[in-house]
Amino acid sequence: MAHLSRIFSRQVQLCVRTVPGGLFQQCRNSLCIITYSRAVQKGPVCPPGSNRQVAQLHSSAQHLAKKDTQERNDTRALVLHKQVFEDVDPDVRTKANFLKVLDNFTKKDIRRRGHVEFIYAALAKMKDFGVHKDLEVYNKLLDVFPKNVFVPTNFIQALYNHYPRQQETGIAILEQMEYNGVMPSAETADLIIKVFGFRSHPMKKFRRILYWFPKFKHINPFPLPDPLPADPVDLARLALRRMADDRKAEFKIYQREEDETESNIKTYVTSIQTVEQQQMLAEHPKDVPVYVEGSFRLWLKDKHVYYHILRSDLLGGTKAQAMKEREWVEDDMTKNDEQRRRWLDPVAFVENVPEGPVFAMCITGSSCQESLNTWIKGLQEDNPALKKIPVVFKLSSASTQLAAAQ
Amino acid sequence: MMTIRTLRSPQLALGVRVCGRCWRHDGPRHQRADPLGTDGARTEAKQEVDGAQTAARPKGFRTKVAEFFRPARDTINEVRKYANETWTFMKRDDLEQLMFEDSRVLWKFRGPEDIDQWMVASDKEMGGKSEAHLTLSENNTAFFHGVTNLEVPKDGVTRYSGYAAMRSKQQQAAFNRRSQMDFSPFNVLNLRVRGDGRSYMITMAAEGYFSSQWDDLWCYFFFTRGGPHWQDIHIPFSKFFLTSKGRVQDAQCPVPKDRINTIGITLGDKINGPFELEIDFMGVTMDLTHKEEFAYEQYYQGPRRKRFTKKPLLSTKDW
Repeated sequence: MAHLSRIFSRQVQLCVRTVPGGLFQQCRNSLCIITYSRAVQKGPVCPPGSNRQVAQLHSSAQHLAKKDTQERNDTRALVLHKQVFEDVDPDVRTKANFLKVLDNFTKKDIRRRGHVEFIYAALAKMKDFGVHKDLEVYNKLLDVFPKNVFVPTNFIQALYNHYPRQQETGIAILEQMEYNGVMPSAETADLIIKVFGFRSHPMKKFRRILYWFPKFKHINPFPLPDPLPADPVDLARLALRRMADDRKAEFKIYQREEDETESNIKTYVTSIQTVEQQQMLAEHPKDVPVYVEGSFRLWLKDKHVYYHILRSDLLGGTKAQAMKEREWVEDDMTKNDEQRRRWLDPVAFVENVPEGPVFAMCITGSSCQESLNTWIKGLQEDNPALKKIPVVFKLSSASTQLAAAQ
Repeated sequence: MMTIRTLRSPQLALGVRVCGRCWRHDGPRHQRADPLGTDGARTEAKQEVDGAQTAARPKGFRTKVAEFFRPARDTINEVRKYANETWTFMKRDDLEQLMFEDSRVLWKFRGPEDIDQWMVASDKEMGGKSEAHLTLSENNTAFFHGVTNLEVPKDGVTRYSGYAAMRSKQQQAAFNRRSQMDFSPFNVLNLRVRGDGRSYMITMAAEGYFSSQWDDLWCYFFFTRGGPHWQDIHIPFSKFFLTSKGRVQDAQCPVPKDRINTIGITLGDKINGPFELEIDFMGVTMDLTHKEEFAYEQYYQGPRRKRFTKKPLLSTKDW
């Protein structure tokens, strides 16, 4: 009898009851049991320990479950925790609905039975609802834990990893925060202390995040705004400015999507050219062709843009720019002796990869011939020398090598 | 648990393949499960090729003699190599260079020789779908390219996926000992690269005495600008932080510059898609203007021992 009641209580712990409401669909009994076992074999959302409980439940208490569903109504059927999230219509998977699901769980039972499995299911579903980078949602998820229960009260509890499964779950929440780059707040700290205590593993993880995140937040020398601009012309401006690496470079929009053009394809054409590049193009000999090469790929966080460059082959008289050599030279022996300087500092004298100069870069909405023609026409207005120089188009898709062919 | 790697069997010294766990036998007794099934395919193909040629002919006397004396011949070769190393070490021809040099070029990728000193790994080893290749580009530079795929392999154990890495091969001394690179005269790592805007990580593995140190990797990030221009990257050694098996450690220490086994470049920036990185050269420099010894805190972070603290027998505090 005691054995049966233990299995019963486990059954209640592992499953959740469906709540009839406007948002959720009614669960079908037979499907639940089958999907339960199949889902368990596929890929566990719950920690591995619960699978053993589930297997026990399935083999020994199946007759009990059947008897249960025959006697009681639909609302007491076996349901997976993640089913509560999947029952939400894909069109309305918003932050508010996610928080509503959490609320339903917390308000149902003061003891929060099955909160570990529920939290793992919620963590897996956060990306579907689009809240995986939202600090408030993580704090509400930590709020699902019952408070003060897992805080050790004597030294034996503190010594022996008190409530290890719950601590692992707390660590899992913080790890997902860390993976998504969400900085926890003081409220997170308060919650962790209320739930687990100060000398707990989740608190250690929290303190590690608080130590390392600020160390690495500003190390990117090419920072991008967060979030990235949605307007493709703004994105192109960001990309071209980043590649040109010159504050005085001129960024021009030769054509916008709304403009009236002869061609059927309506797209934007943006270009960038620095002052030195303009001068080099003006001095370029008129009989040597310049090449339009592309398209190459540039990543901006997780978006990519495709760009083309205007370049020419390496000419005889160009000066190779090596890495900046150390300016101060200590002794008389080395000052006048370039051989010795090369021997002492070979890194500064590594010869450049022989490549021709780049005169301009462009990003167009569609990397098609017409947009590139528009670009060249626009460049010709700013660089009159380009009208006399032959332009050759060497186009390829971005899946080929990034390195410009010699 | 704390195995000391220097105590090795003679089989390892002479290059006989041994099991990496117990160093006694060779072959699959302790081998890990192979998710791609490539090991079986490799041995089968080899048997096909060798079987056709060797099955018919029995071994002649000459082959038997050569096989009998092979260990001795290998040992003599290794002794010769060792003698060469000791002689080079004692001669110290490069003393003037070591005293005065300000920088050293480690790898200048102008041909296949330097590319061969690097090897490539990706999450394909654990069943992932990323690809990584290291080839010579059209400009005669190293071209590290491929595709990262974040799809996690369905083995129930792996939680994250999507990385690609290139790593320099371990240098070998005589008797198959590992030989380390010594960067103690330098304090900055230089690279010239041309990337695609993604962020990569430089990793340095140092020689560790205890088995708990064998997975130690000192890492730091570098960000590529993208575009057609080359980019010079300088990372001081003081910025590298200690990780082990992918986890940043609490007790940090600076990278031991005198015993570095491998340098690597990793990509694991949680983006699905192709990547391209062109590397011109890699070198180290001594930058006397860089005064920082280590960028992270090294104070003791363990529990404070108030009770049962060991006091010294004779305290010299008041002398």
